[in-house]
Amino acid sequence: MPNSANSTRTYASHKSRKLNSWLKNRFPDTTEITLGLRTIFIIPTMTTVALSLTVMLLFLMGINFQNSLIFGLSFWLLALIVISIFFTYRNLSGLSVKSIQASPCFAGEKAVFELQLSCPSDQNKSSIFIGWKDEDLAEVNLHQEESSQHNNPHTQRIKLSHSTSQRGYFKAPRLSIFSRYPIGLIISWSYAALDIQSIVFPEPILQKNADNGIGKDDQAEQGKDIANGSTDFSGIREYQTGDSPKQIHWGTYAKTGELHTKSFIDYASNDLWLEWSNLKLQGVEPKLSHLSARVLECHQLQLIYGLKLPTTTLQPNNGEAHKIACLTALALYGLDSKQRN
Amino acid sequence: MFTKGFPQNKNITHSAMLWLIVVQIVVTLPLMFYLPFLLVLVLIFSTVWRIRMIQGRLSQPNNVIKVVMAGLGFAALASSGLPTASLDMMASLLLLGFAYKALEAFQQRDGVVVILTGYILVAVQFLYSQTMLAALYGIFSLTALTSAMIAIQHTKSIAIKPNLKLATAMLLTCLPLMITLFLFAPRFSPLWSFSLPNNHAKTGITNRITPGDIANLSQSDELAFRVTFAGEHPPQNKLYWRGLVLNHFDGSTWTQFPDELLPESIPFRLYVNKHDLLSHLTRKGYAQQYEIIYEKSAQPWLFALSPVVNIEGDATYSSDFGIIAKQNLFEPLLLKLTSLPKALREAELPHSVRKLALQLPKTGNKKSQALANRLLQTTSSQQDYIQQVLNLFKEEDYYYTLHPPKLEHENSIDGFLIDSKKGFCAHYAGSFVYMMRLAGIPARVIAGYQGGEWNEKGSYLAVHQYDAHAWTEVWLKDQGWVRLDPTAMVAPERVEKNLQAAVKGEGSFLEKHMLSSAKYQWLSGLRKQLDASQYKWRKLVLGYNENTQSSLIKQLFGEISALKAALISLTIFTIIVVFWLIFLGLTKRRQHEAKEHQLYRLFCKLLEKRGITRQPSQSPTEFSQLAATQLPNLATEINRFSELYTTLCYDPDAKSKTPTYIDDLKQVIKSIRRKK
Amino acid sequence: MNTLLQEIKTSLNELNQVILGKEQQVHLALTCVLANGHLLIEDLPGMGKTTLAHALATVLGLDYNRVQFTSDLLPADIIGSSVFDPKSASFSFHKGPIFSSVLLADELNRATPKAQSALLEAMEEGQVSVDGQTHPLPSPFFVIATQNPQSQSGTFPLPESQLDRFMIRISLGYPNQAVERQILQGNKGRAVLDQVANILNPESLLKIQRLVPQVKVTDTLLDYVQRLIAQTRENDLCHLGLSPRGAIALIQSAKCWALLQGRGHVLPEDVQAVFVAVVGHRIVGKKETQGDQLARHVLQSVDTIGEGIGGSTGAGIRA
Repeated sequence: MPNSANSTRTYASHKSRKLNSWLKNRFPDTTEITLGLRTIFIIPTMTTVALSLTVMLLFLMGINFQNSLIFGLSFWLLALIVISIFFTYRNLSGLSVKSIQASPCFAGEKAVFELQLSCPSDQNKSSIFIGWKDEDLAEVNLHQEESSQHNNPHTQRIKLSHSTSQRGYFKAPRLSIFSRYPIGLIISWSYAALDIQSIVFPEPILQKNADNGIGKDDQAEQGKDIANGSTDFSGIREYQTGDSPKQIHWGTYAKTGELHTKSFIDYASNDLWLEWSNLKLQGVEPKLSHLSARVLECHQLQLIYGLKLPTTTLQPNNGEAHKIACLTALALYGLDSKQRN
Repeated sequence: MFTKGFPQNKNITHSAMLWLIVVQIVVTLPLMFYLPFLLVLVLIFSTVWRIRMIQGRLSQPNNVIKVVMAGLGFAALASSGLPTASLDMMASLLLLGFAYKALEAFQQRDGVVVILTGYILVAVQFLYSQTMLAALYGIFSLTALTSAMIAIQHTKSIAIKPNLKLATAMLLTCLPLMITLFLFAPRFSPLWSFSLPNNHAKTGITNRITPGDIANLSQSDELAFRVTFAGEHPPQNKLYWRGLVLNHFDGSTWTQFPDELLPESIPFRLYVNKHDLLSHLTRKGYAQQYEIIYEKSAQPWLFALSPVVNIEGDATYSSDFGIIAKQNLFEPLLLKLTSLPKALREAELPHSVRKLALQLPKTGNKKSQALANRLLQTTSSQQDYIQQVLNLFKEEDYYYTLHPPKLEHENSIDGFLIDSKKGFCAHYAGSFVYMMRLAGIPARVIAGYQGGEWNEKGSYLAVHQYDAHAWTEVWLKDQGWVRLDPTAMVAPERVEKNLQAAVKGEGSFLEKHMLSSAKYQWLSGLRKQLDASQYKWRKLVLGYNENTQSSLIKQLFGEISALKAALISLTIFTIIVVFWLIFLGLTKRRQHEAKEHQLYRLFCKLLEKRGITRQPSQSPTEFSQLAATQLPNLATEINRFSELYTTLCYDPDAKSKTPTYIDDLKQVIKSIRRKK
Repeated sequence: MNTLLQEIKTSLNELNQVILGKEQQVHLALTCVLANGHLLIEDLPGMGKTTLAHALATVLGLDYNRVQFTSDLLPADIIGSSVFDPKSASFSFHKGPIFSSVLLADELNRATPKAQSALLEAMEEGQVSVDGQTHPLPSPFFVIATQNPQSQSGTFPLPESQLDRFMIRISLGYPNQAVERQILQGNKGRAVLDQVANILNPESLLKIQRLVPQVKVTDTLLDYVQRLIAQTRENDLCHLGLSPRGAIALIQSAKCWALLQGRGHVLPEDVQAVFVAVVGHRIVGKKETQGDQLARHVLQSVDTIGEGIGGSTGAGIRA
């Protein structure tokens, strides 16, 4: 028993693998795909089956009652099935799907892909669904009524999200595009394999007591002032030529007639190094996860931090861009730049 | 099934629900005329509930209400007294189911069921009525149903107008295929014979005539049948549309056979095969060919010029030289007939027929008997006697009227012939036959229609119920059955013109129809026009069947073999598909780029095969320089092509010489191809 | 006509003798003059801006004035002012440096917006009004403004709307090593500025300017231009697309470029050559994308050939 179940499973998987490779061949990775005869499949729905049965019933009625009008009705409905193939095909053909950008995310969260759908301006597209099975689905309408005044009604941007499980590159899986418009008798079906990938950061998991001491710089231990900064007011000093007029303390000038300048400092204290080699953890992924959590933590506290990985070093800095850079370095650690998920 | 796993909203929108209600009303409306009244109440209840529900004022009906409603519906059906296995019953049940399903349609799937049932109900409506109006209404329903089908597909409410427009566009685009299928799809004879009883009222002449019946019939301006003649049409006074032969007289009513026979068996009794019929006939005179479309009458009786010697269509010969339908006419029937009006019928009179044609009631009508005896004594021959009786009508004080006085049951002949002397065609025909039979001359009353109205617009003859007439046939030695119309003695206008002329003085023609168009001259043009189109409709659309199909195919394509049929259908379908592709704009490829650009793209493709890809931003000159250095053997061609293209595209002076440039470009492409 | 073109060719050569290794920029500058537009040079100090302006003025046979813009510069310092003449006991208008055919406005962004706008207004109108009197500017009138791109304190960068007044923006950039050596050797470049011949005169320049409208443009080319314009408006990175004024300037300068090449019609190359210089300062990118960078990106992504006027669905555009 288990044997036979096994063999059917392998057969099925073999079949699906074959289908998959065929689809891969038919829908190669591109940045933009325009749907046409070669890429659209036409599949009748259950409604068509039901309507066909109705047509057959009507045809029998026509025969038995020798009723011309019932014949006419049954033929009309039959023609409706046929014509809806053309209408549904027309609705999908000419649609262009283009990848715009992918937003990074943490493993386990959803990566968001932005796509642009468009069609020639002499066509209208309605009720087109695009998305991934069990993930996300968006409905797209490209026609005059849908448009606001300034937007081009024949172009629309959508965002689709896909769950991720592993850090690294996440390439958008093959998108399914389908439409039952106008009458639900036929599904026109197509795929778009877009060459777009998102970077998935390691899932941030903070481990207690994972750090071997805090990797602070010696100087930073006491904290260091960066003079001539702009953050905090530190005092008033005498005016020197070249000082910005913005920083002149007009109050004292009014009183004393002498120019004084306000001085400001920045703090560069707590310069942190998040170091790979300092971790007491086993395994690559836990380490990356921990570092990822630390990066977030440091960013939250607005600290200045640097990242040291066996392969790369990022100099201490702060800000959004630095955070992204660190996380990206963590996400791609040990991955060939071409290697994809 | 393919969309499993894609989170989609399968609920139907508010506007789709409104569409379903519209559809519900549109589809059930025409059936209201045919189905029990109580059912209407159930349907109204269901619709109102549904509307309130959409407005959000009522919740979905719970099970108790559903059961109660179902019970009410069945009670309504049971109380209507419809036979269980009748068309009405089936239609009613379907309608009930439709109403219930519509009540709980919230998902696409339910909507589809409602709409498909709606399509079937449109067909059911066609079972009841096949007029042009019904067909137009059917198209209207079809459009509404298709719009609803579109509406339930949407996840957002959409406006009515674009929806309706799309549905109409789809249905119109269907037309070529639909018409082709209608014309050429194989038609079959009914697969199994079942005729659902139907509560249509019988109309027209029945097989029991009491004098006065026909007078009542004359008050109806309904159409009985329409005739087109091949060749010239006969004069008005020869148009005796013979229907029923009434042999038996019980003193007040004429019937076909004595009452002992079950009425249902009579039609079968009348069936006769063509060979037997022709054996009683001596061919004489010209053959009249014509085509008749009978309106439905719920009876099997058909009317034709006697004797009919050939039938094309769903009817059979009857033993008294007429024709009879194989079943009651619930649908209009089209026949092609050939008659020999001058032929001699039954030169030898079979005994059984003679016996029937001499039957007399046992009692009553003493005065008439006395009159007959008196006449018999003064006449020498049968012809003489007949002439005397006819003269009686002509010379004595007889009146042709639509309002004859009531006659005593026992002595109905005396009452008319001796006392009142006022009567309608049936009175004259009945008493004439009675007088003949008293003299031992085989005679019978014939019921049918006489005359008809000539419609120039449709070049056909329309025979209405008010053309109903009764006349007689008398059997004479060597002449067989001879038609005699005693009414012609009293009111020759009736036969020469029509009933309206015959009762002009009395003003009784269609007096119960205040606004009947037949009475008004100004309306009659319009009526004729309408009637003509109805006739065409009947003949071309409703009358289209296996026979007409095969003759049409023969006319269009000649003799058909399987191969030829396949080829022809392939051609037709190809034409339709091409038409669709063009109509739907699916043939358009690129946005019609000019030839030179197409050639340039071809040029780029050719070079791409050789490994040189043009970046979109590269201008032609730039690209050609690059390509020429990389493909030195093609350098001349590449430079030439690029030069030609650049000049043509960007030098306005070259515009006028475009064709030469295009030719040159093609030449260069050719030479690039040649240099493999 | 041929002689005129010949003169242009010679003047180009002459200019290239002075500004070494910057043929493209010199070309664009001359294009700008022919198109009757104004030139904006964005560059660091010492790159040869002044030299270029001076040489241009000399070659074209035009008089030349230079105004160093500073934060205390007043509009009157540029335009001129009414001065009381004690002899005639009346006010007479004393013309400012703007009354010259070529005006070099050095470090335009150093001046206050008030002074900047006085200049820009004069550029737009072709005349100045002082004390209710209108004084026409000489024709041709040509402003070369320079801007220091480095953000320095105390500057007033020109707003986008004002930048639009300049037809072409170029930056000279560092010379390459070979050229630099020549400059250092001291026998080329600025050193020879005095030897630059006066080839054209204002009349012939006006004649040449009148030739520009005769340069022909076909529909196919207009398609391409419109695709480019559409792309600047619809590109994902673009925040502000090209204005119609910018579009006109694009065509105009493409025509002049073609004329400089001695051609009677415009080719896509001409458009491409001037595109970044004309469009770069008129469009604004998202996320700190530089206009020049964006213009280059647009140029890369638009198909040169074919029909269709673009929009994101145009047949001609393929990524």
